[in-house]
Amino acid sequence: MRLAFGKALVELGLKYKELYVVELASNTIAPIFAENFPERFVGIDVDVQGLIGIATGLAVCGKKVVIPAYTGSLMRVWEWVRDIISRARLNVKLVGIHRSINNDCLSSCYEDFSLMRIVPNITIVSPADSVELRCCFEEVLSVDGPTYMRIYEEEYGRVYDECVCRLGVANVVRDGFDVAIVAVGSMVFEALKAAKELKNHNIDVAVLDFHTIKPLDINTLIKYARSTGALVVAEEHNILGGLGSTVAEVLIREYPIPIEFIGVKNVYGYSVKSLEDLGLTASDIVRAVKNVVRVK
Amino acid sequence: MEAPPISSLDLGSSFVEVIRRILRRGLNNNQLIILRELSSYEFKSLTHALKIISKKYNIPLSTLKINAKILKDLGIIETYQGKQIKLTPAGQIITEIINVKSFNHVGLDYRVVKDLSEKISLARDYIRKIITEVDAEYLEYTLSIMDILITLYLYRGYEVGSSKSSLRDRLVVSRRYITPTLYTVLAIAGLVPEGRVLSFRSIEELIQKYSEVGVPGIDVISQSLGQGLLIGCGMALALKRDGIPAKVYVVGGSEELVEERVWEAVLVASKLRLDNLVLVIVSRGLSNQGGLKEDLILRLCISGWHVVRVSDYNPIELLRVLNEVNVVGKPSVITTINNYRDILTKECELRTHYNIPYE
Repeated sequence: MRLAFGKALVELGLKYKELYVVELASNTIAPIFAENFPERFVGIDVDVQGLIGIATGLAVCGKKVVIPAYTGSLMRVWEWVRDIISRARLNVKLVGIHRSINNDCLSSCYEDFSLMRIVPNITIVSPADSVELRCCFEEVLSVDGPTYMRIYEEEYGRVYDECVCRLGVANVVRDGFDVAIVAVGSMVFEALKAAKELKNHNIDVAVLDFHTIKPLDINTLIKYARSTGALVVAEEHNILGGLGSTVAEVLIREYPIPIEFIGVKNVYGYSVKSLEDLGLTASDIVRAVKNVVRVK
Repeated sequence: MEAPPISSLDLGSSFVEVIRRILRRGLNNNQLIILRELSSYEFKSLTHALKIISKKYNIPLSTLKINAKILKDLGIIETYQGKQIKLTPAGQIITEIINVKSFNHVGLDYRVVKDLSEKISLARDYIRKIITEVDAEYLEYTLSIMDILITLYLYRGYEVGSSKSSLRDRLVVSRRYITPTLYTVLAIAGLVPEGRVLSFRSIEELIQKYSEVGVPGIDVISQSLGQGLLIGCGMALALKRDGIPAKVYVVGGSEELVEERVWEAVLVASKLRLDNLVLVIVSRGLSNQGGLKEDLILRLCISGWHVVRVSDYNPIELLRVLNEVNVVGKPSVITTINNYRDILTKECELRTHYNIPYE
């Protein structure tokens, strides 16, 4: 997805004249953008705190700034986001690039959604594949205010052929009436795989792509909670504080139903060879669905 | 007529001092500015010179033309070979005696100077009132930055509600605990009604509500110099790339210079050649030598910054330095010390139970 992101940057750089990209000079996340728009590219070899300081300054002067970086190093700037960027609602778009396998603790972070979620005034987005990335990113740039977008280094599977994406409105990828799987990012593809397998067991599941974690699409959530009566939430993120917690916080007030959570179970998820080690595959989702159907 | 050689005059003698005083009285500020510029640079013609002077010192061209004519009539400047302009022999002697280059108030409109002095004494009254009647914490932070903030605030001009791409200079303040000063500055600028001077706690809420961006006249208030200078770099970069000829002033204290983030910003600014960035560092004047330590100044020089030290602090001197700081390709730093103890009266010190340390 990183290459798709680079391409999207160039296309949107043509459209938005005040778009700036700030990143480490030695990284190659946006090389084409740097070639095409050198006057809007800032590449310096400083710590990411320096980068965000410069981005804040640019945003105060009215620019839209995109900072791509690997998620582990990006979390260092949480203090800046909390103190200045979110309080003043500056137009700084953080883009975290997540590496699922063959990563190390310092470059990949499974806690980013929960950290960003507790900061007011921020929008959190995570597209499922390159197609959704393009329209998500365009939406992100068209709204004002700080945003955190998480994309993945690799694309595991294509979910959409073409996509219409609006921030704060979840996409219904597959409809169903037994159980609803609420997924985000790379887990949407896994959820679709699980849905195919569950058809053999006569369980009809709906797959919902909640690409916007904050603000959450409460209407769709409650609608599917009412119609199915059981939920499984899947995210490539720590169980504590991410999409699962958000969903639970809403449903416990509005419409309590049995929910199962798929995510990294409060461990450091690094140096894994595959998602199986973390319990984030389609078979885990299948197991969770069967559990929750029994309780229902 | 041959002029006596200048070396035969003892410029330090009291005899010459009398002549100096008379000459300074006889020529007004604008005429002194014209003499200063003409004695320092070569110009193609008088009109060319006056246009440049008008832009540099912000004086209307018509005023300069009138004053230049007076100087011509007095025989101090003359044209030769048609258009070229130079000082007459008499003019040369006069320039030497007056010593225009070191005259402190040259370069500033006397109205600006008078206005600023008045505003600063008004600010001191306000802040004394605030300190005695309402308890204020962390006085060092507040007071040390006060004069500088007022100078910068009024000197750059402020526009309430100006757009992000306007041509005004930007101001970034990197200091904590400055609410009383902030409030005083806003009151002086007329943005907060005078009757509410003492209710500054509620104004504190107002300023808190504005958050770091949005206090009228100040672009960003940040917590520490590390953040403020980085933000200043970003702003200077944006202005430069847009081709806007505005400056970015960052005001901060010297205590934070031990933070590594500050030096990162120093290197970034030097690398990106942000010559529209001016950093003003305020020391609290507590150390023995006063001012910034030598090794820090050296480090700033080596990092590619243009360093100006203002040893004898007063707002007028600061204004003069701000006017002159203009180096191509290098960001600038002005280091000053501010011994703010003269702001406090005995009564202030007794009322506050915060002990300002003496070193």
